[in-house]
Amino acid sequence: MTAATTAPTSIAAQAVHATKVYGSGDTAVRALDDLSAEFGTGQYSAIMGPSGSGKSTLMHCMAGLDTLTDGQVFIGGTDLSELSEKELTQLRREKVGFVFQAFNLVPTLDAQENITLPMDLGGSAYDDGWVDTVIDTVGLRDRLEHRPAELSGGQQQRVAVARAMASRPEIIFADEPTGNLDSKTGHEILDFMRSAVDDFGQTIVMVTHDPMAASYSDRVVFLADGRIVDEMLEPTAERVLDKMKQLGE
Amino acid sequence: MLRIALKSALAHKRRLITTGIAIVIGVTFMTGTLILSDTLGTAIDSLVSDAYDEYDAVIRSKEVQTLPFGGEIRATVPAEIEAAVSAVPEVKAAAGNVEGFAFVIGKDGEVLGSTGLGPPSLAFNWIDVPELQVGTLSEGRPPENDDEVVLDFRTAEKGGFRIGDTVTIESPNTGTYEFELVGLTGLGEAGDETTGSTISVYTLPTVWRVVGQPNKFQYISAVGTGGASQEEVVEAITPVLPPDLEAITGAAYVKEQQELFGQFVGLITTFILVFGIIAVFVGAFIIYNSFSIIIAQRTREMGLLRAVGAGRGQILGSVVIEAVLVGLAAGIVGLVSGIGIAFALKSLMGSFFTLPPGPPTITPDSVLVAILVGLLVTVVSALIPARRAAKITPIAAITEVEVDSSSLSRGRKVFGTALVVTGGLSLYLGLSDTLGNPLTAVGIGAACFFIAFAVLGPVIAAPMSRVLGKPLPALAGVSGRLARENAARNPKRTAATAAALTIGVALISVIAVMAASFKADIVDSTTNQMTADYVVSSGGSFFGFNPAISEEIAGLDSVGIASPLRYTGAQITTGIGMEVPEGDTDQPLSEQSGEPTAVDAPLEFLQGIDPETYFEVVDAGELVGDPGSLTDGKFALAEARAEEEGLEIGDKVEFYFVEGGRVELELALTYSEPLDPTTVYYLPLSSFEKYASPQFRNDFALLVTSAGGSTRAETKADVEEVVAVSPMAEVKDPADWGEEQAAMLNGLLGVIYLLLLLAVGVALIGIVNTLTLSIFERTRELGLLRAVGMSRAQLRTAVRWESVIMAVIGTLIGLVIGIGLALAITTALSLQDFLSGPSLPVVQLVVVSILAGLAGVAASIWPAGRAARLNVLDAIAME
Ligand SMILES: Nc1ncnc2c1ncn2[C@@H]1O[C@H](COP(=O)(O)OP(=O)(O)OP(=O)(O)O)[C@@H](O)[C@H]1O
Ligand SMILES: [Mg+2]
Repeated sequence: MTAATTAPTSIAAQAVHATKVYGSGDTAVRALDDLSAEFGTGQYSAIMGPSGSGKSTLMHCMAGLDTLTDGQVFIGGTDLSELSEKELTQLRREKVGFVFQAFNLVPTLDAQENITLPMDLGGSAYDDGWVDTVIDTVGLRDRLEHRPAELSGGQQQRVAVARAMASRPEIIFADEPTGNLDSKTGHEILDFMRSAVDDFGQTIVMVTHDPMAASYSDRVVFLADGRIVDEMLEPTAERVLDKMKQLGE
Repeated sequence: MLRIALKSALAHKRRLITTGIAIVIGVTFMTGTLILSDTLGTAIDSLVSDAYDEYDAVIRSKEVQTLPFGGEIRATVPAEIEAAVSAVPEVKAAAGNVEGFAFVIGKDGEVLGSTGLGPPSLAFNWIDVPELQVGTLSEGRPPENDDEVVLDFRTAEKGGFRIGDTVTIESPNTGTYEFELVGLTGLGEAGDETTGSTISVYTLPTVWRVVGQPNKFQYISAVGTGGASQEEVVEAITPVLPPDLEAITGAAYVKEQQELFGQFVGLITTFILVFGIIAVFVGAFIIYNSFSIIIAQRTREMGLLRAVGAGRGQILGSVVIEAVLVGLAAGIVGLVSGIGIAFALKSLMGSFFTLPPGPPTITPDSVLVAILVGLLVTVVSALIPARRAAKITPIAAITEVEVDSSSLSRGRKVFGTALVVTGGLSLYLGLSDTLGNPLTAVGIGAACFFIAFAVLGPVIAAPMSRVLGKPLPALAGVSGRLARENAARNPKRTAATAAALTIGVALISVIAVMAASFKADIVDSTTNQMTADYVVSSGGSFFGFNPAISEEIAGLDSVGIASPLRYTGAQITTGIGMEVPEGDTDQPLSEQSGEPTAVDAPLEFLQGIDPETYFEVVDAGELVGDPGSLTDGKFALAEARAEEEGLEIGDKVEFYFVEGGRVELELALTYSEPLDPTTVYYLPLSSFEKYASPQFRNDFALLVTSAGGSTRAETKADVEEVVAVSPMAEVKDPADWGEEQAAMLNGLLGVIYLLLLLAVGVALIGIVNTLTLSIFERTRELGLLRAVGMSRAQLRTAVRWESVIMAVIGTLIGLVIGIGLALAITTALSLQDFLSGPSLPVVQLVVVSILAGLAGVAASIWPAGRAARLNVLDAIAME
């Protein structure tokens, strides 16, 4: 895995010999199998692979939502395995942003409250200017007082991305953020994430099954059976599709 | 479908278990009470039949008055009848039995045993005929001289008395005595059983002297010669008796005594059972709520079942089957824990009186009640949610269903508002005295408000949550905001959860306000109406003190006026015919066609006063008539009551006294302000002496003023010196006396509060249940919160505040309903002159509110812990 990589100025997140085993004995599943990967600061990475290849598992472990069976995960130099439950919570609040495929928002809070939720949880004063910028970028100014139930699926995902960005995390993990959306709305979200990387230097790692979506990224990492099997820089939809066919998905 | 229902019940067993607990508590309590009652009943039956098993006949007066709370007072039998009965050839031996009251004074100078509601302190005469002895001597010998006494073994043990010791006995009627303890007695073969009463046994002349009722027996017991049956003995005795006496068989007497005791046990059982029923009722709310939530959460699953072809009936059936399973389980668990409680209570009771060893008596009835109550309450409560489940359409399987928040229909608001208006109108009309009976109007108003509260609950739950939760974001940040919004998001759920608590709190506040009003009334009237300097009081007991003490105090130089108060009961029988059923008198009371005296008129309390002095030490308001004219044969009555009864000065009223018979007394005086609104008939002491039963001829209070030349302190010192001889009397300031009278309510109140806490406890389980179910429902959301950085502590805080909001809503509504209702009732009572008006126990109500808030915190501990322990990933992965 020493293949051609753009040398990032620094590394935002890193997995080192990461292994994750679910269950034990006969039924044990190796979701991650001695996997090592680096995600550079300011880079937009995509993770692809067949269903069950360990993409979500990798994301969860990197974001501090789950723990590895073996190996280490670093976020900006911090070894997550050394953190206590409290410190992990703190990390999720301040250093990591997360966007799920669906159910990203707290239904009782309005859009504005959902966006500032991580900072509110931390009780720290936040950068109003930045929050405003984020809100304007996602184009949600006139929807701020709406609750999730009153927003469309695409709007909800935009709020989710805005929430992930609002606390200026070191890295955002997005697990199939456009999986539930029609392609037009999906493109809006992808555009927005792209601009977050380009305009604000945000680091993003995104899981997707969609070659079109992958083409928005700087680099695609291909997973199979819990291992990295290939990667591609400056991907286009066609090249990704070819690679997928080649990998037999 | 049965298989699906069973699988679903198994899959949700945790949720169903917490749901079942709500019913289990009520069922436990009910069955525990029933089993205990059966156990006590069996024990008492065997104690009673052991005690009287050799009686062949009992001779006693036909004159009897039943007391409002069970028990009876019967006129006495003249002593000479004993000889007449003994002379009957069929009678082998007869013995007169004296039963009076006498207290045993402990070595510390305090009365051993109860002077109030507890088991009585009784004085008996020693009976030589072995067959007619009630108890068995377990140690020592019978009393032979007039300075000797035998005590029951339990009292001797409690007082630390041994044979040869000197024992002080206080008679409320005749004063203080000292006796030598010569023997110990008890019930049962070995004399080692007891009903908990304090028993002292004397020679016949001595007990007559102590009780102050010479030559009278309570009843005469007789044993027949070998050949005669009980019926034959009774038949032989009857001709020698005067018409006002009767003879009944020993068997009938035993049965009657068992019933009398049984009534008392039954009364206590019913009293406790009421609270068990309240708890079950509150539990029903929780069952309803839990099933509603569970069904809302399973809408998709049920839609799917419908989509693949399940009929409405099958869906309904599957929910009902689940309810049946929960109900049966709750019934069985309730039965088992009820038996456990009965065991515990039995050993507790065993420290007061003897109970047979072995397990409590479990009758098929108790078992049936437990199972049926558990089953029926659960199934009936689950029916509405089950019907809702049956209405789920197949499309629900595919469409995303928002959790039901459709509770704010217009119909609901209109109906609720109409109820409030009707209730308000009814209260207004009732209390403005335009309708006949204010209490009926208050009843209707209260019912309207309760239903309105049930109907409007969901409407007001959300706004109330938001208002109450206003300060939360400032207090607890995001957690506070989430708590507020979560409490408001399912108004029906919040309302039903709060309602369970509302019931308990409303009942508690009704009781608290009523009690405070009654107490304030007593304290007010004693402080405002009494002009005496001191009151010699019998210290809140149910017995008075020896009138000789009053006489001695009246004779003191430093005392001006000394005016005694006495109390008794009589029935007003003006215009009621006297029918004594003839013949069948050996039938037990309950089986006769009517009471022996056929007097069903209500019992009235009578106050015996000294007309010369009473109105000088008590301000009885406006008097019509002259106190001096209140001589023997006359009585005084509160003006309002006289008006109600249509009586005027000079009118005659017939009173029925057990001992004094039916007497006509003339109304000589009316007054406007009674000292105690429940006791409005006043009798001059001269008449009181004549007609009241001897056990009432003692003074409950003596109102004392200083003589001209003496200071109050001097008077007090002198009076105290006289009173010092009796443990039954104390000197008090009038205000303290009022407090003491009011304090008599405290014990009962304490018990009621304790029992109502049961309902509150069940309601708390309801909160735990709702929260747990809600948290389950919000797993995905909680996972998200944790993923974006909410800490466990913050999650717990959110759940805690949500719980507090629900608890406070329930409490506030409960307080409003309870206080409102109590105000209405007390106002209605004051319209009827029973009370001077309502009074609010602010401190108590504030304490209730704070406790309810804390209870909310307590109820959240478990669900909050669960929420905090939630695995973030599981939550995210959940569909
Ligand atoms: N909690 C779990 N317990 C047991 N096995 C699990 C668990 N979570 C995931 N796995 C297994 O680990 C492997 C990797 O799962 P993962 O969710 O990471 O796949 P994925 O690449 O995200 O798939 P998809 O594209 O379908 O989302 C799979 O074989 C899955 O069955
Ligand atoms: Mg996945």
